[in-house]
Amino acid sequence: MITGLKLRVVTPSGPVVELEADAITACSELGEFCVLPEHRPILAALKPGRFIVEVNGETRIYATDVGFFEGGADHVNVMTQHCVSKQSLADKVADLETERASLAESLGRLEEDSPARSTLESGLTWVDAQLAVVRESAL
Amino acid sequence: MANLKEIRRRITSVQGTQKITRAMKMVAAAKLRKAQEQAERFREYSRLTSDVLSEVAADATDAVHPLLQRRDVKRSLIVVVSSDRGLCGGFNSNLNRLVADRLKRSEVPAKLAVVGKKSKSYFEHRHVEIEQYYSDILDELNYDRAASIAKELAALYEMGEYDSISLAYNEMISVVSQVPAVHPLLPVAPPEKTEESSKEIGPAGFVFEPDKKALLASLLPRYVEVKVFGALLESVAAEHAARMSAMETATNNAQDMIDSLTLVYNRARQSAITGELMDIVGGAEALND
Repeated sequence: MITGLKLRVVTPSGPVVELEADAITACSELGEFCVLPEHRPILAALKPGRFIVEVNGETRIYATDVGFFEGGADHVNVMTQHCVSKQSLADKVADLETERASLAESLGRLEEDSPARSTLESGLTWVDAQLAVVRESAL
Repeated sequence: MANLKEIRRRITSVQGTQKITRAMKMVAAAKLRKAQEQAERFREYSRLTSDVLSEVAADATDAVHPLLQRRDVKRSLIVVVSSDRGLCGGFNSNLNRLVADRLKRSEVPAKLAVVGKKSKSYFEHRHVEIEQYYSDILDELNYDRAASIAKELAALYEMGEYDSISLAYNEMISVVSQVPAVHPLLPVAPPEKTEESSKEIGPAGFVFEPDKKALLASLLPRYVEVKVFGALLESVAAEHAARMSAMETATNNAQDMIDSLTLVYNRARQSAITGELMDIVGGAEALND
């Protein structure tokens, strides 16, 4: 019987999380879903949002950017552009707010059909997701 | 034979140059190590993305997504990745020659997009039109910048501006060997599903969320980003390796030059001493007489 999931969260800068998890909850485009050991293989597109990992009764919360979730009976691989833990975000709220304001301002100044628009929009969505995770965990 | 002062001056000058080339070699070696580490860290992300795409695109047809559509090639674009700085041997010239040759032999109108000042100046000098120049990419290479280039290229392909987009860059075969090559980027040729990739991402029979088509639509642009970033990383590592080799050769050549100049200097010095001794002996003999 499989009791744990080997979790690997990989970003373009390298692996960010490597641990044995009991349960994993992620945000797909259709909503949140949870994966336990011996789950049927799943491939999901992730949207920016919270990523929850249960390890030995402890809950660890991360913010993940767009990416892909590949799960099997005994493992989960997550490929995402960014992944940060809620702990590291706690001290960065002011920076995130500043970044959000700057991105929103740049976006407002861009033409509707500018090619840079989608890049700024993705950046803004990612900042919003981080702020949502840090505010939620502060409750 | 040049006088002693002149030879000494030349030796000092070559020694100064040697110090610079040696320092540049050390800087290039440190940057190469950093670039290789960055490429190594990216490798897993790249491999997993390819594996997932090979699974999702296993039975996809061209009609599923515009980035997969193969069209009759009427206009093509080559994205050239060179360097911003020189002193790296044939790194830029070999690549530029390869691309210039491709442009010359191309049966359809081919345009250029350029990353790196060296290719920009080469093609501008030859009056080749550059459609797009991406500046300040290579010094601080990061995924987000590469992703924005990839998004732009994918949009150009989807809009039908080009029917084929390729990447031209130096592949790093080893620290002493960098080979320029042109690789197709768009339309996307999904990686083949292999035994290795199946082992990596588990058995088939996946639940696809939201569905296979939507997953493919999210995956394909990411795959283009991965390809572009991979090419930039490899080119930057190859540039540092080329500079390191070039500077090592320059340092060795400077040493050979110093050795030969020192030989000439010693001969000249010896000859001057012999001349002075002959004068003294001649003078002493004259006094004895």
